[in-house]
Amino acid sequence: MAIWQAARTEFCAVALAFVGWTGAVLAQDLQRFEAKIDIRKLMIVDGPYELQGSTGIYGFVVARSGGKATFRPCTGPMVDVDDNRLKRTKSTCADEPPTDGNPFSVGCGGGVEVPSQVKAAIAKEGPTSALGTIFEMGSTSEVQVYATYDNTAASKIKGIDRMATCGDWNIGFDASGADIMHFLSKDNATTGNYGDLKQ
Amino acid sequence: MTGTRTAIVEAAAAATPLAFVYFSGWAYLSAYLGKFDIDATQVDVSLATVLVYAFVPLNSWPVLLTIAGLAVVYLLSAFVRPLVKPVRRTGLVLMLAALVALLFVVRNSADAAAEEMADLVWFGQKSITNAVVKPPDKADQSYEEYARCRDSRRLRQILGTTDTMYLLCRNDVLPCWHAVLFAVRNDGAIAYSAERRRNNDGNMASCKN
Repeated sequence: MAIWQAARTEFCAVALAFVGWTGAVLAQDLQRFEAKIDIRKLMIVDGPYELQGSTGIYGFVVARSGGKATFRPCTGPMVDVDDNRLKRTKSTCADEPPTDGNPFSVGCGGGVEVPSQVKAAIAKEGPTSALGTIFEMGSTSEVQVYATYDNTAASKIKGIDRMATCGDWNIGFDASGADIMHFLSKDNATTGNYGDLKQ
Repeated sequence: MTGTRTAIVEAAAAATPLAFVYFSGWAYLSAYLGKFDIDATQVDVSLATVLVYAFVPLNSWPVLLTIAGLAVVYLLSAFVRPLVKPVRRTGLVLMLAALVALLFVVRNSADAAAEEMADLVWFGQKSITNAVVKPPDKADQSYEEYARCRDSRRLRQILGTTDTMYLLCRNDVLPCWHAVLFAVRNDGAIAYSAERRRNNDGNMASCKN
């Protein structure tokens, strides 16, 4: 009888510990995906485009040279493709096919917030900037503009695995789900569509 | 009554190993097909196929060590005097707990093995299978896509059953990230095609073509 009671007590303790641990993990996951995205760094791109001869591959062009385009797809690494393989599309990263059943996904979290200094910089330089131009706001709230798409710029977006479309913005995430670059199409920079997104 | 109870226990003991092996095979197959978003319940897989694939997760260190550990615990409980009585009283609960733990270990091993096998398909390291497909009577986008894949040697076999061949056509620009899945029936018709996009599992860097 005593052994049964001891076993029952132990079982209850283990069950409670398991429920508590599961709850903590779930709460942590929820918190991670609901954080607001702060646009302190962005790159001007062209698009969206669809890769012709493939189905459901969308992305943006970050640079062009000699008939080739550096294509930043919504999912996967950057590749150089012939410019004539890209066709303008109204589809976004949200229209890509689903993944292989893995529940991990990236999204717009708690919304997108664009600091006023960044908005002012885009209004001033965005419409005339070349593809691949990076705007970056440092700790002093001053926005630096890097007008050349070079190896340094490429390295900043190399780690992106997949992108999510959040309003006017396309957010690039690495494999751990951290947003490492935010993309704004030249069209949106020109027409003034680079506002906050409330979720 | 004792005779009936004994018969029931013996029947359960005889059926448990087969059920366990069947579960292992099914855990592996459903995990593998799930990597390509194929619903395993829609695939007609024979009992023999399921049992053969059972050895993939069973032949893994976590499963073998768990079984060995449970065997040691059982032997200790049978021969160590202070443990005999308490184990006899709680035997059923302990057996159920051991079975559940073993099932979870098998499931995790099956998932890991399925991921390895699915990676081989995505990396192009599986059989280039060109299933015979009858051209349709009128223009069909799926058939044209299939023909392009076949001609550029981008098809890889996922699984072949008695009535359907499941093939993955890897994208020419992003082969480890995007693909089209084809289900080709035995009569040469494409049952369906579906776009597939893969999650990064940290294994993508070495993908070449």
